[in-house]
Amino acid sequence: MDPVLSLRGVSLSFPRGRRHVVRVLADVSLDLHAGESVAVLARRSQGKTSLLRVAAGIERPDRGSVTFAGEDVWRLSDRRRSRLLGSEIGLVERAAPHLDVPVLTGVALPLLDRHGRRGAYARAKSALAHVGASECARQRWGELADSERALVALAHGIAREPRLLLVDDLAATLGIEEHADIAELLGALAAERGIAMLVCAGDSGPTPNCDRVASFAGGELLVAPAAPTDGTNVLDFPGEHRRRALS
Amino acid sequence: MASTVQQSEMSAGEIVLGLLIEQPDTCYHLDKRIGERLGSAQFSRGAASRAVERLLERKLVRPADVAEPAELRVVDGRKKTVYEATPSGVDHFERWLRASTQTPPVREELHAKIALWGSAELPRLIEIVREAELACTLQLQDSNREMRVERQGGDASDWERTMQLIVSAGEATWWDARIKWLQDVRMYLEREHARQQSVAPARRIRAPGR
Repeated sequence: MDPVLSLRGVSLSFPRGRRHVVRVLADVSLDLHAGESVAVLARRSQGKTSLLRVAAGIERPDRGSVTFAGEDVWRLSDRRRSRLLGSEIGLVERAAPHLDVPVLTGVALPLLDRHGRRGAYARAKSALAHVGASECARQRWGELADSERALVALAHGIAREPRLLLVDDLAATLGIEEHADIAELLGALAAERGIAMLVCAGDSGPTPNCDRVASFAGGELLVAPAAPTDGTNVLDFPGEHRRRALS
Repeated sequence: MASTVQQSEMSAGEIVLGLLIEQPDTCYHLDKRIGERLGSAQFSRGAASRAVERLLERKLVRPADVAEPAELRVVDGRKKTVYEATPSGVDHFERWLRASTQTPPVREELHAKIALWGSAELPRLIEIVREAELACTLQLQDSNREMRVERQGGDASDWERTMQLIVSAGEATWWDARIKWLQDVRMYLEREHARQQSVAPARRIRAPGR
């Protein structure tokens, strides 16, 4: 089966001043299949966000190819490429939303034009329930705890049912248990919904618990080979308890 | 081969060998030089003489044939033997230096290689660090998998699961920290390598333009 996301020999540099060039991505290659998650470990300012932006088709690499579901992203029309993001590709960041509205409205807003008012709210509700953040629906961003913000950001990401989810430093400020819950949730999302996931983690906070781990520094992505398949499906663990508790 | 030798014992041996290749010396001075090059926390006092004993058994070092009486070190009024590396000792050291580090990578071993490495062959050293980094990602992947299996753990009580989670999270954090340390080391070595290669152009850039 074709990988959902495939990066081949992707390089990206930014000029800094007139004489220097900062190498952000150096010959990065990665295949990400449906239902698979990869954690990228990197220090601050190592280009995690650039990596995600390239994977999302926002940033065009200097060299190499970015293929989404078998199609070269940079051969698509601008219109189609920009539509990928937000429909088939979800980008999860923990930045505060631009509008100070209740969480449910915030999650529903981007869905309005495609699903109508009723449909958008129904999907937003279901996304919040799926990540176990239903109780936050009426609150505003400023009233949320860190762990709730992470969940709400994730709900934003999955509300449009993407095939590829790009997660930027979501669990940075969480403790062991909250982090384990998020990790479990990400794993369950990958497995149950067949979402391919690229999860970046920074200096602070625990490692995201993904199928594969990659070390990212100096523009190089060192990806550990996939785990040997010994018959047990490592993704097949219960992500249900949170939802059961809330339904 | 390196893998047949004990971990930290081995590193002490290789370090002493490396230092003796640089310059024949007594055990007393070797201890001091280890401290200077690698930091005193690494090895206890007397580590050098124990290492030299083992190296003598393996014929990797020998008492130096020092003709000049002035070169015989005198410590506390007593003459001390000066040791030097044998040709097979030099071979052994070169092989060790270029070999990949063990898995899981031992920090002390990598530390020793970095301290003793000449700057001429930085690319190989960078490659060794890269290999170690990749080995650590595999270890982290394994501990991630274990953590998931443990969280599944059917019969375990909540308390047991909590304890397992804490232990596994500790292990994952340990590998995570090691990966980031190796990233830092690799970045530093890469910068150093780039700096060495661009010494000439860099000078030109810095020359006053007006």
